Amino acid sequence: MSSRRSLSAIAVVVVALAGAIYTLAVGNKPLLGLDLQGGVSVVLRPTGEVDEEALARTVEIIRSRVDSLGVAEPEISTQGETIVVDLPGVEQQQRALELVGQTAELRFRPVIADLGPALTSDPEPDPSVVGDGDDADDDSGDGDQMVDSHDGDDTSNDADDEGDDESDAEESSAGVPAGRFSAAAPAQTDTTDDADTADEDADTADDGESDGVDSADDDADTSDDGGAGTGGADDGDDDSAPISPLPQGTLTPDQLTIRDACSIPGVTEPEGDRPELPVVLADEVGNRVCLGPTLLTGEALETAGVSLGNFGEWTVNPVFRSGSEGIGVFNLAARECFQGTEICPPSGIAADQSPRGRLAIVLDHVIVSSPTIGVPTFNRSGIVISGAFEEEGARDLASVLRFGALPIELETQQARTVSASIGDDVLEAGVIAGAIGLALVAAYLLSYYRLAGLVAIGGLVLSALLLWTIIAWFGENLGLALTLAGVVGLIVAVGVSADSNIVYFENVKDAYRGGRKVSTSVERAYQSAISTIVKADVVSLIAAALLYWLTVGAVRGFAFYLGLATILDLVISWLFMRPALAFLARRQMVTKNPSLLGLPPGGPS
Amino acid sequence: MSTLSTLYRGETNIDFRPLWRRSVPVSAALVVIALLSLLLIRGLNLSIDFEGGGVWEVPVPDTVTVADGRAAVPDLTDARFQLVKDSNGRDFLRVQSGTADIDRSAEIVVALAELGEVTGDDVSVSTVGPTWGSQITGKAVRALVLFFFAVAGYLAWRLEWRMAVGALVAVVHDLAVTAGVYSVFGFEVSPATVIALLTILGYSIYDTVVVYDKVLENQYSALGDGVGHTELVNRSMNQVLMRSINTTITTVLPVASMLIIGGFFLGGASLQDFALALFIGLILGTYSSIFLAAPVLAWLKEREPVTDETKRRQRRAAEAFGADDADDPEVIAAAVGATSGPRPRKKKKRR
Repeated sequence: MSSRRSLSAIAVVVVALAGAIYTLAVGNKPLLGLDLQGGVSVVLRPTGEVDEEALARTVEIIRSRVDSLGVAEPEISTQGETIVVDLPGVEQQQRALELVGQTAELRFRPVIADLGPALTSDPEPDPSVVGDGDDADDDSGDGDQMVDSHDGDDTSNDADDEGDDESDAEESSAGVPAGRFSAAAPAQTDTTDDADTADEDADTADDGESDGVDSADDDADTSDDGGAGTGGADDGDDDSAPISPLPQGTLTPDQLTIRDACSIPGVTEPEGDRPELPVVLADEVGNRVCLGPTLLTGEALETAGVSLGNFGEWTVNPVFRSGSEGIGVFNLAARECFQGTEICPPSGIAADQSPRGRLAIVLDHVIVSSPTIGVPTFNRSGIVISGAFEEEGARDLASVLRFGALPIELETQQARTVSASIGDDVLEAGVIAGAIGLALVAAYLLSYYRLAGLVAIGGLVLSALLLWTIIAWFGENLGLALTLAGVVGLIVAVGVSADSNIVYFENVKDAYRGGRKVSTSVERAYQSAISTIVKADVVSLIAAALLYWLTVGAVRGFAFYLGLATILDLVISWLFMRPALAFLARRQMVTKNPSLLGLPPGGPS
Repeated sequence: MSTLSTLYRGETNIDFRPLWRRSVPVSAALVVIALLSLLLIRGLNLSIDFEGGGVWEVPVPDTVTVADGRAAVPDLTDARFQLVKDSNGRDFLRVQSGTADIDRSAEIVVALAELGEVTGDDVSVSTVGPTWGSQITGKAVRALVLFFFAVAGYLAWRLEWRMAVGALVAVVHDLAVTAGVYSVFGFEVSPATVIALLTILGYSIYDTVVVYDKVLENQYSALGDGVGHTELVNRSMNQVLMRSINTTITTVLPVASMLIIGGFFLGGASLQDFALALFIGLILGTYSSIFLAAPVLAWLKEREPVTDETKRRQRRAAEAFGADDADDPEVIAAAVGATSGPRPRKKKKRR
């Protein structure tokens, strides 16, 4: 009996050690919450009524936006209608805040120019993609300007255009683009010179170095135009990219804007994607296309469905709302594209083999489809988008269109950023406090219960090893982060775990005073002790479970780790505590001198 | 033998009854004061997480003063500016303001980053919409109420309903007084405080369960025979006293270390948030398990209708002392008197 119990204690030790070795071997590390490593947390709620599908799609959109930030372990969850976005470790905190809170809008934009295949399908501009052709040659000449991208940027603009410098300076300090429009026209004549190429090079360097800077600059190039536009115009001349459909000759400011916008390398950054400005995006087949300003939004849509044609081809059937706000605006756009006007020049081939304009459907910076307009006017419910759709693709598109018909407006309920330095500080404080607390508890237990204190400390160490294994495993596999509240839960659990040992040891004392031998006391006291421990721990578990189910945010994290630690306390109390103490009680040293176990001196009376 | 040594040997024989006669009114008075302060006088100093608003923190050079901060972000509603230091002696400017400024957060970040000569990503931001806090509070209150019911049910099942009542009285006392301390001293209540308050519930009940479990154990053992309920609770209290003190010490040690260490770190402020409420609550939890939960149980048990079972026990006890009239309470009282004092060791055989 006793040997079987010793076995259970050994088993616990082995499991704990194996867990620790596994964790070390696999390299699992606890995932730190954003309050411990810095990061961004946003809580959002839709302003109106939403259905589950719309909510799920919103989460999907936020997820893809967040992915573009390169966050290692984003945690996006819904609790009821509330969306919780936790981005631990995200570096561009301000940008993350902006991105997450935006409302997704479905936009219909005309395709102005097909710029040909992008060198990679990655929508993020990559240095290797951007620095193509002759620019790459210039790079080697401007090596020093790449070191500090901003200096390079500003100097080159100085040589080019006085006014531009000013705007760039503003942008770099504030991080917010300041657009200037009209001044651009005269500068158009100022063509090929090295300074401008350097300008673009600087941008290229930015892309590689810091996205934060890069976005501001790209923004200027793309949408805000003005001075920065001059660079764009030159690039157009330098660039070997096929941009022939762009307007030529004497240009109006609008046309110039479009031409400049279409001349950027790579694609438009998300923050440059404004409804009223042209953008460059990758279309569904991976070509870069230049899109004109938004002609209509998802609000014109009523719903969308899919259907299966006679020849097994899937089509998507959007239905617009009636009236001028619905099918009316769509038909205005469709007519432009059908006729191939300046707003929507021919860039696709219609079913009748004639060149027609394309109308791209853009959701949240991504072209979901860019069908060619085949007829001049449509009935609101008689529209068919056909193509090489698989069933899944068709359903996806229909879902996007339906969702566009119900744009979810999100309201930020709570936003929090923690800088990495403060996060480090908190972690340091928590670790030091935990270590000191543990040491004090250990010292107290040892001084009061002598050798029995070792059992308590052994139990604490085992719990710690198991907890570390479990937390690291959760962090790696489930993305469950350890937050400050969790750390507090764990520190608190140290106390609870020590409590259990104390309850047991005191019961042993009682039994010993009752006139039993040491080893018998250890056995006898266990029954009443474990019953007390279980009762007390169950209360803790009830608290943890209720808190976990009924609350959000920090309280939840706390409850989780409190519950986890309590369960481990039960395991250790059950399997480890008694055999370990019994082992000590059998030592000759102890039977001769029971005060070594903290038992009253003088022995039983 | 010194008091400490008696304590150590677990052989205390403190008569808690006179202490209880004082402690219960004191607890009642504390609760009344706490409630007065909470409901009528000051209420709680709630953080922006409950009321809505924004907090921005930026590292600043030594030369920056609060006045510079005010100049950098003028026109804030109800703004509070504060300079704090972190563990490395670095200065931080902390700006707190009302919900009206949430929408201007990006602008404030830019201005503060400029003031601190850092980038926007070095500015810590926390904004909370006006309705969010009340929802959080609502959820926490709902969790609390359910917790009370669940725990009462569990204790009534595993122990006795009177013990469930006693435990709840003690817990409500701890919560109310802790909240009262926050109210009277104007400490800020953050979500961390709420978490700490919830933890206190667990601790307080743990301590109380340890005491009650001993009472329950003694009730059916030789020790419980022939003594009144109050004396039974009193004796059990003596038995678990050292246990309560020790469990409190071991839980207070880590919390105290959080409280103290938190004082040395800037980020530690959030650690201190937790620790302060925990510290107050833990001390109260131990106090209430000894000086409130115990007397409440004794009082409730004294009002227990005399059942056949108790009669049988009393008679058995009375017989042991050779009294004929076992039902006479006077005789039982006398028997109790006979057993108090230095307890005969033989009587302490357990089960």
